[in-house]
Amino acid sequence: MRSLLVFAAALAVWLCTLHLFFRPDRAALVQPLANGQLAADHSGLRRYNPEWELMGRLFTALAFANLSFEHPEYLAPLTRIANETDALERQHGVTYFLLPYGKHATQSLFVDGEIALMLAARQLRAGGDPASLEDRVARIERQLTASPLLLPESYPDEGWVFCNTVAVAALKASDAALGTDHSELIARWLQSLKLHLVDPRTGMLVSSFHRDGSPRDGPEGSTIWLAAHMLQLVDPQFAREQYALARASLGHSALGFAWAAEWPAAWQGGMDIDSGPTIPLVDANAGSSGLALLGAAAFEDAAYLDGLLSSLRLAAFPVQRGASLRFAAGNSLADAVTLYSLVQGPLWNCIKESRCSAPRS
Amino acid sequence: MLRSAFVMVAAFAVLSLLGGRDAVSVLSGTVSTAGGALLGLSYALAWFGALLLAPPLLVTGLFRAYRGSQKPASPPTH
Repeated sequence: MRSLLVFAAALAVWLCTLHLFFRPDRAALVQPLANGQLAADHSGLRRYNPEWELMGRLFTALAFANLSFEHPEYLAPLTRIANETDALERQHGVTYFLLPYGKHATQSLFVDGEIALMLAARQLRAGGDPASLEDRVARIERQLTASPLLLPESYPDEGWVFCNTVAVAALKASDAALGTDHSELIARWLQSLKLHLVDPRTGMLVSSFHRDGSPRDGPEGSTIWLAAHMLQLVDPQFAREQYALARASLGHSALGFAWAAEWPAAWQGGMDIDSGPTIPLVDANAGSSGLALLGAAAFEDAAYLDGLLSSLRLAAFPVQRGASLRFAAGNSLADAVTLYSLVQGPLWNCIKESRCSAPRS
Repeated sequence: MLRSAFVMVAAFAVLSLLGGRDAVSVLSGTVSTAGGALLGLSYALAWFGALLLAPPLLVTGLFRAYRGSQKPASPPTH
């Protein structure tokens, strides 16, 4: 009996102090993660999910764009990855970055939005020929105006808030890069988004929807954190409200660690290929927790960010090889998201405040 | 208690030497072989066992050993 009490007391003390051994040094993570991304080959993700390759490229490009404000040596890899991704899609077609069930798609807001945002980041930071960006922006405009609700699809009859917010952020970024003005179109899109895609039970944006605007799924962690960050460019107040709602219903923390659920209690959904498995009892989801890093960083939620990073160091199995760092429990996409979370800020600020210093042509 | 703690740490050390840390990518669905998946899951379990349970087990085992050493020796029987 006495041994049991000693064990319980020792376990309690240990669990309460464990986080001290996993406290993050955010700045110390950046350079090793960036080195890992400079060497990463996102094409290896294709055999698991072609979407992951495009997303890995996007988050890496955005991370390099942010890093380039202090370190111009990232401009070359930013330019390379943006141009290469654009060329891959032009060579192989829109289905190259889609899952097999999208083989009949002739257009995808997911593909054009992510490539456009990459190209806009390149244009803002490194300049160059704007033709490919202008073409992607025109594709987004066409898809927006052809959609009955101004909410285009990523797959036939399958729209995603994730992809819509990325595409509109790309429009905003391209305006900063090219001197164009999509504010009227963006305002109409925002109006439709709020009217059709806000879940009345939670107040959060749903994750996916049909062409007629009816939801396919409810609010989802692996969508809402990223969507809130993208919305910062076009409606900061609405973005902050969405983050606060997500934080309240999906964010969890205990004993100095933090994590995120995929589904709010009001809307329990299943597992999908993007969200990954959920650990029962604590309701911790890998995909949602990974993107919660981005939300916490973008909305300067320092305590939650440090808790998430502590969890990452505890449970994602960091592997340091030479000067590079990666997290073994994830993949190169997850590492790209983590890096982007740690360095985001300068690019969004330059777009919002129209003070980007890069050449316009 | 002490033995359990050492077994946990030893299992974690062996799985580390077998390359289990790299195989935990099974947690994100990016391990292609069944053997790799098994190794990765075993490594993850061993890590959490060694990290969460081994230290309190060690403390409890040391407490019991100390208590045992404080007991008076039994009087000799004739």
